[in-house]
Amino acid sequence: MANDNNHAKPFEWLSGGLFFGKKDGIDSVDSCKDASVLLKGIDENLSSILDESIDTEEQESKDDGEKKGPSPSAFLASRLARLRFLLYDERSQQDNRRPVVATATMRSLTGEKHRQLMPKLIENLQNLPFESRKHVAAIFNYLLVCGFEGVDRDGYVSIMNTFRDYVGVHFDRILTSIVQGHEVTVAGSSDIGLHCGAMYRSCFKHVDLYRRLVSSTENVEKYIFPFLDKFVHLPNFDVSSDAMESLRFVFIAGSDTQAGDDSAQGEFADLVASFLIRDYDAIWDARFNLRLMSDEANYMTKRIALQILSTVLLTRSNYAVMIKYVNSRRNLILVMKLLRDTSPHITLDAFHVFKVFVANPSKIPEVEKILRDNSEKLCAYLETLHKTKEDSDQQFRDEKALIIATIRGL
Amino acid sequence: MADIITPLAQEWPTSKDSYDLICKIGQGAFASVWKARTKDTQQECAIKVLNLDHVDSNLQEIRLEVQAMRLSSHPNVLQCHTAFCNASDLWLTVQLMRKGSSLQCLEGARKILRQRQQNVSMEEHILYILHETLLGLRYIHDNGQIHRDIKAGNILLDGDGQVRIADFGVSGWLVNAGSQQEKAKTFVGTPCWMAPEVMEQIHGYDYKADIWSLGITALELAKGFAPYAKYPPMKVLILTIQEDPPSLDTYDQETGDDEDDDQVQEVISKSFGSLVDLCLQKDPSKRPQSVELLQSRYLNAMEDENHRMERRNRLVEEVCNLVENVGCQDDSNASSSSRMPGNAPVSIFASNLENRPAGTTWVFEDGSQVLASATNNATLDDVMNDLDQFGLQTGGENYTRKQKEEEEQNQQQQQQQQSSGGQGDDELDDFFSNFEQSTGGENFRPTN
Repeated sequence: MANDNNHAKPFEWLSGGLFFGKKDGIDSVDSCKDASVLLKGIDENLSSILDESIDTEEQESKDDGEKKGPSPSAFLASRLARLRFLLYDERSQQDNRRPVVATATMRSLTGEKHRQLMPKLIENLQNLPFESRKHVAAIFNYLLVCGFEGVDRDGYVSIMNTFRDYVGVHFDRILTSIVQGHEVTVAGSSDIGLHCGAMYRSCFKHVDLYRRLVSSTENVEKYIFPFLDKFVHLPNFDVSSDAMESLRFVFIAGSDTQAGDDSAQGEFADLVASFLIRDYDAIWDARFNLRLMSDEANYMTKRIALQILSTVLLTRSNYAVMIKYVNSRRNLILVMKLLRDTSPHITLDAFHVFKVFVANPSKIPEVEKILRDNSEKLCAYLETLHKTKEDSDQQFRDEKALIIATIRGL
Repeated sequence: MADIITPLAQEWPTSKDSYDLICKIGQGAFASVWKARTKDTQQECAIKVLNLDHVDSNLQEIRLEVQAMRLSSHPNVLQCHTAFCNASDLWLTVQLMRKGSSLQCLEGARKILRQRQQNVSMEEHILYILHETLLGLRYIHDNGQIHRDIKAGNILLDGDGQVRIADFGVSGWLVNAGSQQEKAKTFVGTPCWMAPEVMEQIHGYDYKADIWSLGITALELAKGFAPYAKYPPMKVLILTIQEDPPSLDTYDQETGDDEDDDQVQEVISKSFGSLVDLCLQKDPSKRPQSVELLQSRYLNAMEDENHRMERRNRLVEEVCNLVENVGCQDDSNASSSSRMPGNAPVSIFASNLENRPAGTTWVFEDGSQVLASATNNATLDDVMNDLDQFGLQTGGENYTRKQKEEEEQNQQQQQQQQSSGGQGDDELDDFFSNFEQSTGGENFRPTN
């Protein structure tokens, strides 16, 4: 893959077409170097696949063995594989070449001719071969984040931003299919949900797209609540843990984006804080407290939900959410129940939430009363809680001592 | 290159009541593996039961392990049927590989052949196993993953000669959600099989790390254990970094005059040695990729499908058929190498690459070396401070949970379990019963 593009075999540019020379034509895809040619082929293949899937419902068993040569989905599969390979291969080259493949891919996908292709691919993941689904997600993700990482990222920023704007234009269509993709898992092909989860998180590494997501309660209901209401509760660990990861990503957005500059991080923090307080009741009361952290939730959901809660509350920019959360008697009761869970992970995170209730200098009377009424037992229990951790973690030891002292002093 | 067959979307049940556990076939530090059968359809499978309380912070590792398996569809990669939570356990349902690990299987066959006083040469079989493993590795690498724990114990055989790579427990994703990191920077693995660049943690590492491990695996299969398996983990790290790469000769030097019952004494061809040398080059850029190895003269004969089938049939006849299925043999047979010190798993965290001298960033499972740094957690002072300064936003600085905490927590938990049954429990129980009474079960003492 060195700089010998010009000396490529003759007629290679034809490889995006059906064939030249080789009888089945697929081999020629493997030597194609032009992303736009590949995408043109992918677009055609996808259309044939979609037409076919309508046809086959009518004439199911008719054409067994009748077809000759590779099917459109075989072509689609190898073209997507090739495109993905070219994109990643271009990036792994050490020299300072210009991002030819990435530019061509971005131009084709966002250009006039094929601008429906990406949304169509995502909508129809379940009609694609197993490996092709991976490739679609990989290409989508690559274009969305290629300007964030790597020493050569500067060369990719404009490609990435153009693609981000393109996703913005098709926001509802793409997000709807990504969210619906999680539902396909119910029917037994959970790989689609995993791909959709990865694409979902790629989108919201961009503050512009994240703003769209959280700026209205309507969007929150459409694109976040299905995770809280359904996906994290699915019995399949692979999908539910991935959905939990997406939630974590959205609730602490920006804080672990390696890429974003300070102003983007600040904007993320503001957006997080304002949507978490705006939709407070629906998020925290109706969903986190009553479902995700309740006894009906499975261990994994409960543990990660509590972790998200504690991270959110201990993030300074979420001050308003913290104040509201710790000024609730019901929340305190819930957290005190979690404090005596059988899992040490859960009790530790519960402690980090509990300490905020205690440390709050202006507790509401109901909260203070519970703490006071249970003070003896609470102190005795806290003494034993994660005792061995105290030896190695001075901060934890100090905090516990202070909490116990504060409760005693009530 | 691309397969076009969607894997069977067969529904595997997601509740423990739908499975009969037949017998235990493996036991690790935090997990056990069972041979099992679905109650409805009587389908056999293996179930890995893992206590999630032992898994760190946000369960990322385990999530990625399950995903890696779920997104794999290749004849040489172990497939995950389904995974679900049962209380704090994770049940991972995978294909049952009836002959267990390739090492166990070869060792078993060797023992039987020796008893029969037959000539033993496993070289052909080892090459076949390596070839199949490489096909799986190529698939894993094409998917943008590094396996990071390739060793004979993770290469499983089935009775029909299938070879599959298992245990994605530590597989890292070079390509994660589209962003391709050039190099990975943390490692969990087993020292004997680790490539030197992985241990040094200076420049990071990539797919080539698996090729090194494969070279060690080749030696392991030929000799019965990995080159430095007899040394403690720290020594293994030093030897791997400082010495010339291990080879077939390493074993002779090490053994010296000692009587050595463990070591397999088989005639091994020169060309096998060269294949190993090819993989075990300390400079990763000189090491071949999986594709290149497959095309090398050592292995390319197996590109021919008929030849490959023939080799597979011979493996079945000469090895698989000799040894019992997993779960049937008694455990005293277990390979001696599993008890060698160098086989203990370690984790290496490279959190502060720049500030660390090479080779000093590891953490051992037993806590003997803990050099991980803690990140900042919100202290109580901070929180109170915030509350005092009503409305005053400091902004910007985000607090994150830290990793060290969880590690300690795991240790602590082990200790807790060990010490359970002590007198502290009674007091705790008393406390809880009072607690329940005074709070009316669900609610804490009512306010009135």
